[in-house]
Amino acid sequence: MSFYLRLAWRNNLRNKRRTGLAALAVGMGLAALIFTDAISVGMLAGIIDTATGTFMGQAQVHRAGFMDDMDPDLYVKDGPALLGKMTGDPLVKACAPRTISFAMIASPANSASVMLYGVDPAAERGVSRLWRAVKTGSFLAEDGDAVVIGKGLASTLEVGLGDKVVVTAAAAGGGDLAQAMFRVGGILDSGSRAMDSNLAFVRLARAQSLLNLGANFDEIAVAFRNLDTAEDKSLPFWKEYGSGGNEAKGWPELVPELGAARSMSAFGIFITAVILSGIVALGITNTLFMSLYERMFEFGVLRAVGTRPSRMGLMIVSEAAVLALISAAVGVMIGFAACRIVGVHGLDYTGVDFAGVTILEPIRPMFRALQYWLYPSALFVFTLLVSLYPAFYAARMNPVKAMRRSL
Amino acid sequence: MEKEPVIEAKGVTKTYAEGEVKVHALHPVDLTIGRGEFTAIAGPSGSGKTTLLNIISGLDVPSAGRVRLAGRDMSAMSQAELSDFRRDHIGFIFQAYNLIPVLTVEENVEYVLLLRGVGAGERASRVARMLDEVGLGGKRGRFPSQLSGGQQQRVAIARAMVSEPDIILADEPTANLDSATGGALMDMMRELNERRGMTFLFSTHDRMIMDKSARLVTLKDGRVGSDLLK
Repeated sequence: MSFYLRLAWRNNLRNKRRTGLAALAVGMGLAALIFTDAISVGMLAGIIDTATGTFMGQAQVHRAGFMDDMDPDLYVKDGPALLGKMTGDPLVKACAPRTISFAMIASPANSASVMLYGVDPAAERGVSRLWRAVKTGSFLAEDGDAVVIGKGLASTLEVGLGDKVVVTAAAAGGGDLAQAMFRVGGILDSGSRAMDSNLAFVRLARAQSLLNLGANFDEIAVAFRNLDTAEDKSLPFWKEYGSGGNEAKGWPELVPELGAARSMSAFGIFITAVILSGIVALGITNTLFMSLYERMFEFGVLRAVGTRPSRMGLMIVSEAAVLALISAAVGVMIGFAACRIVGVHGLDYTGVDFAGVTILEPIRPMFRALQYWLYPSALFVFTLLVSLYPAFYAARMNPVKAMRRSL
Repeated sequence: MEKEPVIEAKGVTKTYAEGEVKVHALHPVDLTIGRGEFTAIAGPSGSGKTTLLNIISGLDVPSAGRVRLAGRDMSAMSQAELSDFRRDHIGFIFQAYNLIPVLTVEENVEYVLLLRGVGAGERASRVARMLDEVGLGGKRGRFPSQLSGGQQQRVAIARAMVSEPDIILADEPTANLDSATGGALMDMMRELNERRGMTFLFSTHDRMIMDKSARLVTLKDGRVGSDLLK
């Protein structure tokens, strides 16, 4: 260890209580930053996972213009061929075809407008967790005439498992109304009011038949092997599946509110970092000046025996560096512990809507390596910068004034 | 034969402004100290001896006049140059020892050599030799708080002398010591002065130092009152 670092280390240990309190204060700032980042990232990751994993998928392919008014004639162009090709795509973990149409669902007691989805239950398991939300009955397990509805819709229609409902929708090829009877085969309780009140699911083949689609469908929902693929617009995937009249969109385009929420969160973390940096700056400066005033005479002696002003400054910066290292260690430990403790049960905001998505799982802090290297490094560098002020003061110190008691 | 001058102060004055009042700490003072001298500057409190030592060491600047130390005019030096000059040419002994409390005896003495860029091996041997010379060879790993006042002042003497400066300036070096310890330290410094030919300049109002010094300069109201070579 160099002489100045050794000196700095010992000077920091000279007043253990003060150094400890300063390290704790600065460390708490760092811990708060680590925790804020972890909880923000965890919350967004949870919401993105909920948004993409519950039903939407990480990306979707539609016929261009379909999403504007859900025209039944605007089914995916060359859908079956495209689906076959996508199944073999190395980027894609799973994909599922769907039909989508506005429909009216009626029971003897009531009626409601819904979004009717035709889905392939086996393929659907690869892209969504919808099947897990079925609390009563099954997710289109066997019965070809089964419909799965949410508990909110079931309540509106006053129906239960096995009850009959009639679905009316506009079919392709002119928009004639088509009607079919289904039995309630499963009731969803996803935790999302929108989903549980407005969606109905039937088997893909049954929907294709009802909507006069033949082998066609309106949407391909995609799950990638790596979630980042959905945000990398430079990949050929998007052109490959989003051309020839079709369009392919990742979740940031499908739910732009989530992208905005992420930017907002990053800005929030930045603001938190700025505020905490200010607190850290004041804490470090105060500690260094207290230490400096306390040892004024000693600094005078060091100057008298020939210590250059620049070396005096170096001593202060070295002390700040040691204090920063201790503080960073304290902050990392507290931050890690806070994340672990909160991570056990998470913060329960289930049922709350955020950026158009209902939070379904408790929010848990999420680890990112940069929390434990970038933030402590930034603290270290920032502390060194802040210490330049007291270092400059020490360097400019008049030895005679500092040693007023003697020479 | 006249000794080679190591300190030459010519017409040195110092005036402080305290509010609207001007305090003349030093009236024109002329003082020449030859190499190897063992000189005490004596005088009552407020006579200007500390101010004179501050100016001689380059810690303070005179209002008028100039000081040459080891042949160099100190008035033309920057703060960094003055630091280097003090490091290379002056050893300090303070009234309250003023060792660095977080450094061991060995490290306190070593510090000046470190500033001079002396290599680790040479530093270790010079420090060991110097500590043996002041009788503290067995206490090199101790911290100042673990030493008596007399022992701390011996460390301060070792620190002042280890770099073999041209002159050692000592401000009331025995003021915090009992007379027996102070007398022993003065004897040790006198012996080092004679053996190594090192120049010592004390400020004091201690009769014992005045008696043991080879030359006694008295200051009164910022003026040289007498200059006696014994």
